[in-house]
Amino acid sequence: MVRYRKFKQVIRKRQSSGALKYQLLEAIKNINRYKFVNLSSLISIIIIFFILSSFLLFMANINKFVSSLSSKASMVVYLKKSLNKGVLENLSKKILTIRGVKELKYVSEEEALSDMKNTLGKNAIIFNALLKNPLPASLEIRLEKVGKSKLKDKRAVARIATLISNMTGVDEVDYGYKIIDIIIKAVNIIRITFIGVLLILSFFTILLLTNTLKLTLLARKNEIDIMKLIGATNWYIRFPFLIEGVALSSLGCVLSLGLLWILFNIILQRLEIYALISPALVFLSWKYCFGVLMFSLFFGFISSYIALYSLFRQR
Amino acid sequence: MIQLYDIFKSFDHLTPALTKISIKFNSGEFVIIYGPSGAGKTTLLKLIYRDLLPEKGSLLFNGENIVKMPIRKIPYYRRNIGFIFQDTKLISNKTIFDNISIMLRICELPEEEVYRKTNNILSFMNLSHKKSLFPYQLSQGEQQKIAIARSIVNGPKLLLADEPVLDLDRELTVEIMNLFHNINKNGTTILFVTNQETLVEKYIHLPNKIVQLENGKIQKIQTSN
Repeated sequence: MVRYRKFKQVIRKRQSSGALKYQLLEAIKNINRYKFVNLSSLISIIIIFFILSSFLLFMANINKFVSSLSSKASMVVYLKKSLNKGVLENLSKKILTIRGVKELKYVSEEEALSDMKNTLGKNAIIFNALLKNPLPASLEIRLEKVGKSKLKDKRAVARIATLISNMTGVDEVDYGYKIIDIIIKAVNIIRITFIGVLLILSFFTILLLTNTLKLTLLARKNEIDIMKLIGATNWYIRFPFLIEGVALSSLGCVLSLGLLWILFNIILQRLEIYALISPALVFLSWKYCFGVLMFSLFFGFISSYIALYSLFRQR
Repeated sequence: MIQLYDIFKSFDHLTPALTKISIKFNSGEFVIIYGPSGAGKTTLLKLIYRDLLPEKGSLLFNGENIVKMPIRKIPYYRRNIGFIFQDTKLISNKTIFDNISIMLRICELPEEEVYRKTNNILSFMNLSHKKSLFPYQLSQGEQQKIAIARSIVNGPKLLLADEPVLDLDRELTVEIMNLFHNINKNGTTILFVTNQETLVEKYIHLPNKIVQLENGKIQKIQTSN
């Protein structure tokens, strides 16, 4: 906090003296002056963020796939025979008031038979021998998406099923326990993996960026030493380097996202089976790209700070 | 202005560089410190500049003991002192103008003042026409003049010169010595270090004080009016 206040003081003082403009220009000039060192740093940063963004792209697509699966989370309520209209309407209203129920659809006995015949195709002939329709009418219930709703575990789904099965006119409730269970487990595992890998990647990103920026700083150690000797404060020296670190990191991030976008499109074009992949593969949304850019700014700042700190501590 | 009391400094606690150094330098004085290589001259300047710390003794600058000065105050303390290094220490990728003006930018002076003062000092040194060049494009003597310009551009109270005329030809040495004389006449205290005894003999009329150092000890102090 004290350091942050000090940083703000430095900025304010520099704004008033015109030194801020000079140091910003110096930072840009320095990127050009140390082209070779900065280019190698930039390449390392591009590689780091390419790996990070590729991982995010993979995760975004997995999340989308899981989300589309979870939207299929449904429940079928089989109704008792010869239910009158009033009871059915009352039952529908009651079910819709339950938390976690998104919508419901009434499937009559005739519709159920027709659906069954369609599913069986040629084998549907067996139904012709029957004198009476054996299939009951039902209510198909769509539950809220697993990822976004209050339906966080299978117990919540089971609770809804119990509630409905105790209502008047309900014969049996089938809620596809296994598929919901698998979806919930998959979502949780993917999320935990995502957070874990993101943390590990973040750690390595900072480590690699710090070492890369340290190389840039070491190439200019002589300049830093002279500045210190002639009375420059640590913040005066650090400031352009922090700007450079942030600029390099964000530039590397933008380039890596661009590279990933090009590669993603090339791969998509080559994948003939693309049309068969459901749901369709998507690139990172603007929100994700903005998030990665913000990460790069943060990583650039933190890594430059650590690199500078370790260099300054040596004296 | 500067008072040293019983200063002891060694390297690796084995080789004493300075022993029992007690001396006073008054404001506005021109002091020549001379002695052979390894006598402890540069170490003495570095102690005053707070680049090194003594193991024993105290060092007062305008009454403040700089040995006990907190690290965060050192840059501000150094801004009162100009230091001309043996190897000039110019920044190779900055132009002559930027090498001089950096001293003023560090002090966070407004841009107009930075330009005015830097141009003034360049004219004073007769180097205005070289302000866009880089250090490697200048001769050794010109580089030394730029180092002097940088050290005096912000009007320091004290100027420490570590063998500034070493390896310079006679003509340039005369020019630089005259420059020091003029700087001193403007009220700046100068501690001028050299290992050339002939130089001391030649410019004996310039200093108020001549200090002879040998094996880390003061051998002789000569004062004149």
